[in-house]
Amino acid sequence: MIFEENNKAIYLQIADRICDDIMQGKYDSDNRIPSVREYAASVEVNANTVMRSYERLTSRNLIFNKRGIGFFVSPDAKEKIRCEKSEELMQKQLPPLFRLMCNLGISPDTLKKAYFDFLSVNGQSV
Amino acid sequence: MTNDIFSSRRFCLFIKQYAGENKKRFLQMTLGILGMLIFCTSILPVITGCYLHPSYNGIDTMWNKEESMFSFLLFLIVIISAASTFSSYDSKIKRISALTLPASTLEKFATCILFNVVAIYIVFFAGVLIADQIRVWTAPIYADPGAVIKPIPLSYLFSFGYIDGNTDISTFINDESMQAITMFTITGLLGLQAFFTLCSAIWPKRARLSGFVSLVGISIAFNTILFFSFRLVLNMYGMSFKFRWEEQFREMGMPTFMTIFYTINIIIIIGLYILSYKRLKEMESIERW
Amino acid sequence: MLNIKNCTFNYKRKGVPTIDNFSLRLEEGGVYGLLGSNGVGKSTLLQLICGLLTPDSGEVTLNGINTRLRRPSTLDQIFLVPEEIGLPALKLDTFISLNGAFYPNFSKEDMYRHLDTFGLDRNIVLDKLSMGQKKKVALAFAMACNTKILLMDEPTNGLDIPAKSAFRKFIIESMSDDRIFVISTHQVRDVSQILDHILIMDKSKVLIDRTVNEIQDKLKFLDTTDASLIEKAVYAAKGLGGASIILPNDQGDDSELNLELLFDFAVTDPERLNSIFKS
Repeated sequence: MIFEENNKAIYLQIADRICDDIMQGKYDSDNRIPSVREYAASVEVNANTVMRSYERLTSRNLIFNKRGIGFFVSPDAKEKIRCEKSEELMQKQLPPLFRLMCNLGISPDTLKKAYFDFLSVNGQSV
Repeated sequence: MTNDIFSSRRFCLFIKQYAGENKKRFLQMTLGILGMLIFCTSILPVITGCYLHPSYNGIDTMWNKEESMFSFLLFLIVIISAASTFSSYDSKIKRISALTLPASTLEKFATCILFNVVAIYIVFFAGVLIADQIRVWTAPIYADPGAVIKPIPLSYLFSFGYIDGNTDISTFINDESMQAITMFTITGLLGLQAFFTLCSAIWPKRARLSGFVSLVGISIAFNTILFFSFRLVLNMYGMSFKFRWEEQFREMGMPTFMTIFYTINIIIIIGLYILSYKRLKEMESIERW
Repeated sequence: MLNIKNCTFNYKRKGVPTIDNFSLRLEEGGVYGLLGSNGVGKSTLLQLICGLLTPDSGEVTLNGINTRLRRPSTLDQIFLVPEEIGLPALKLDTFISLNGAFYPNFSKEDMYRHLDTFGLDRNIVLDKLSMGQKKKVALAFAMACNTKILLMDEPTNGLDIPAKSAFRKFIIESMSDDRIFVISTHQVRDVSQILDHILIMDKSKVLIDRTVNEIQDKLKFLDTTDASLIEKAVYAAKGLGGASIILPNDQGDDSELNLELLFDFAVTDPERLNSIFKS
């Protein structure tokens, strides 16, 4: 697994990766995620680091540990992550975009049209 | 909890491991020794020409010459073998794996001794018998029809030719000077062997060279002792040499002298092996002095 | 627990010792990275640990027993994979049956599994292998012995990229609470993410002996073009347009440990580094 070189702690990057996987439905069928050791070996990172990731996800109630069996995705995790990421998009990533649009004089309608074009080209819908 | 000093199970495992790892070397050495013996025993009659005429008293004339040759080869081969006793410790890489293998120093030491100091006699004497038999088979090809060609009897070998074709051993035991010569030869052989084993423990890489050089120095001292001992022994049989404690020694008598001589030598030999063992215990992955 | 108590070692018996008064405690459950430039004494330390060298003063003990005694009961808990591998002229199967027997936890199945992972055939004759292949065999065997303590001297040297990956996976999978792994290397990038303890050696001393967590707690690692931040850094490695820097982690941020940078910092300014940890 290649980690980004932006200095974000690897345990956080791993947690993000697992969140993305949850949101994309990778763990749908049985909801079980790999054990700490399995995951650590697959990404070639010390198990303690992965443990920290799991602890973080547990504290955010996105996964939980069934003793003796393993870690599982919480039932509402997918929705929670979606909400959190949406919130982050709205609060953190959009304002700089809006500021730029303002400076360049791009209207909301232009943005809306571009968005719908994007959706039709990529075969997706909201 | 298995014994940390010696465990027979582990000892057997180590013997197998050592044999496996040194298989090539032992095979080469055995074949080399055999080859050398066969070559020498086959070539000797040709060189000396002793089969070119009939034998005089029904005795194979080669035995005498073989005796000297075998004695010489015995010393040579035993020393070379002893000098390679610790050859599995002659490079850093080998030492690292040999020293970290979980067996006790005693087990490692005993195995090295078993293969390089004890087994060599078995290999040598088997080789002698084989080489001798080959001589018996091949010599008739070129020998005079009247020449007697027979395999050398073991008693002849061990009595340094004293028994001229006569295989009666009882005469051997009664003669004291015979015993003295045997004593000197055996202790000399075992002593040299122990000495070269120690050299191998100290300088595994260059044991033969260093051993030889040290030996030149030590042999002066050793020969001096031998010389005086010989004077002593021969003196008891009426030869006129003089030296300081002659009176006391003459009164001692041969058996006592032999006991003392043997005891001192055994102590020295055991001491040399103990030093080799200690050296193995101290050995590090690199040589630093 | 492996305890290195006040060990000093000098190859030449005079002058500056290679190892000067080292005191380290290696705890079970740790993957230790022993980092240092070539020739600094990493191999020496590993050899001292398994009793191949006698310290001029001090001692190394495993659960209280001095390792220099080289007792079989101690030796069968330690395995050293040296930098240069020597293998006898035997078939692999013979080698395994002769040598594996000395290690109580040796597993033939593990050996074959590791060989498969490394892509080696089982019917090989050991002295006919290339250096890289010998390394793989040695590592596979070391791993199959399942000893409590596994010491590896430049294990990734000579390994191809898939093998390095297999090596990392092995370390992580085999780690357990009662084992100690020590990886000595100057190729920091090969192992930086699998370590949880960092030991940096230079000039006969241990410059730093900390867990990765402790380091991440106290230090913040950053790549930046912000000149004011670079000013405040305790260490900076300048590059095109900006720098990789280390700052004291006053705000409890979570950044990823840049081991190469830390190493340079430790070697350049060890006192500063240790003062940060003492505060």
